Amino acid sequence: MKMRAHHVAKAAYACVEARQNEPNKKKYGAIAHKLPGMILQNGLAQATGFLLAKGAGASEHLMLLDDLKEVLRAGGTVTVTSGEALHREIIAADLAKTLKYTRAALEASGWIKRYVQGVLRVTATGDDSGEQEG
Amino acid sequence: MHARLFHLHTLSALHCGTGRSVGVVDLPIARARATQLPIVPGSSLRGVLRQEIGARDADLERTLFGPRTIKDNANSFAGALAVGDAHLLAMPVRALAGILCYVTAPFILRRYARDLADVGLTTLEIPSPANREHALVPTDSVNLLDNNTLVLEDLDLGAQRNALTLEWARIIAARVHPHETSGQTDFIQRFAILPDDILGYLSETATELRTRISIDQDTGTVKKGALWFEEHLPAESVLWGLYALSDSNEPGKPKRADALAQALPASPTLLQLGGQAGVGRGLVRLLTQEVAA
Repeated sequence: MKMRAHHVAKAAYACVEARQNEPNKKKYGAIAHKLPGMILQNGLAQATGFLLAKGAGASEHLMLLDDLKEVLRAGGTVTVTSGEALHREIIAADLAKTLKYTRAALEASGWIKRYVQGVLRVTATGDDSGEQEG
Repeated sequence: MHARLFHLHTLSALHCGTGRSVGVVDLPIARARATQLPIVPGSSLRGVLRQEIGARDADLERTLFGPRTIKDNANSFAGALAVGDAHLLAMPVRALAGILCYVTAPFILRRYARDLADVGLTTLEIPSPANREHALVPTDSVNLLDNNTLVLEDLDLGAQRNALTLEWARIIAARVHPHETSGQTDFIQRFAILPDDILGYLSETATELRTRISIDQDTGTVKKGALWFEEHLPAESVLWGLYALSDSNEPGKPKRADALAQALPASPTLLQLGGQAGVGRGLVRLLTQEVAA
């Protein structure tokens, strides 16, 4: 038997590692750092809606939404196959599902953020952590 | 050992943290491991009380908290004051009507009632919401829309006015605002008992999150990587806990617990608890008027 957190972590690791050679990986990393805070401050629907809206002009937002969907799928929270479908699922959710999705999304975004720091080496301000002073 | 009850009322955002975390928030607040409900560790409160009391009476500090340094066994003794963790009793949450609502849940009230009974104070039956999508509010609540809906953050809950909920609101309000009628009224009209699940959810997602940065002195812009999230218990939160006083253990200086209780700071006392004091966080009122029967 495998712990649920390990399924989620494994998926998050794979998603973030796949962004290693993306030209906008620093922007992706900066948004990934902010995603858990965004969910807490604005709610899951607003946060995913923001990623969807901003994605039209800045693809790193859609990349992150897609990765969030992948990690939620791995944890068995949703079965949707696209970032947009994830947002639709979230805004259609009843109270019980909203509680469940929010907790799962916080966990998933926490893992993504952790691997952005550990694998991509991108800081919260979108800088390479190797360039940090001190 | 005389168990006594204390309450904390936060006047500004309160950050009693656990250091840098690997979770979703960089600097989270302390929470009970099993319930994930916010707490203020007894050690935080004890340390602040020691500083407060020690500044005006070094002998009393020694009696209550024990010696600061222990040179040998002959001069060591246990302090007479034990301070437990403070647990969340009611948390202010954004409400569509009435600006905010002080929320609690049957799970919390059961533990609060047990402690009230333990120190000999009156307690009541605990009402439970009809189901996980309904809340109970006092009969004169100002938080309802269309007389039957309570909107908290993004959650729409059915609501039922309830006399027992009013009585609980009065009990808590009287302890948090003992000499202030307007403060009691404000609390009572904005009180709600939520289903346990909803309270648990809000205690994790409706705490105050502050984004902080650090400025590079040379460039005047954000330092590389210096952006982080801090979690706080919002201002107007209410917590409760137990403390206990024993007779003095100090060799050659016998003092009765009741005499030591009289020497504690008058209630309510303004304290600064937790981190970020320099930016105005952590102002709390400590209320200790509840004496064991």
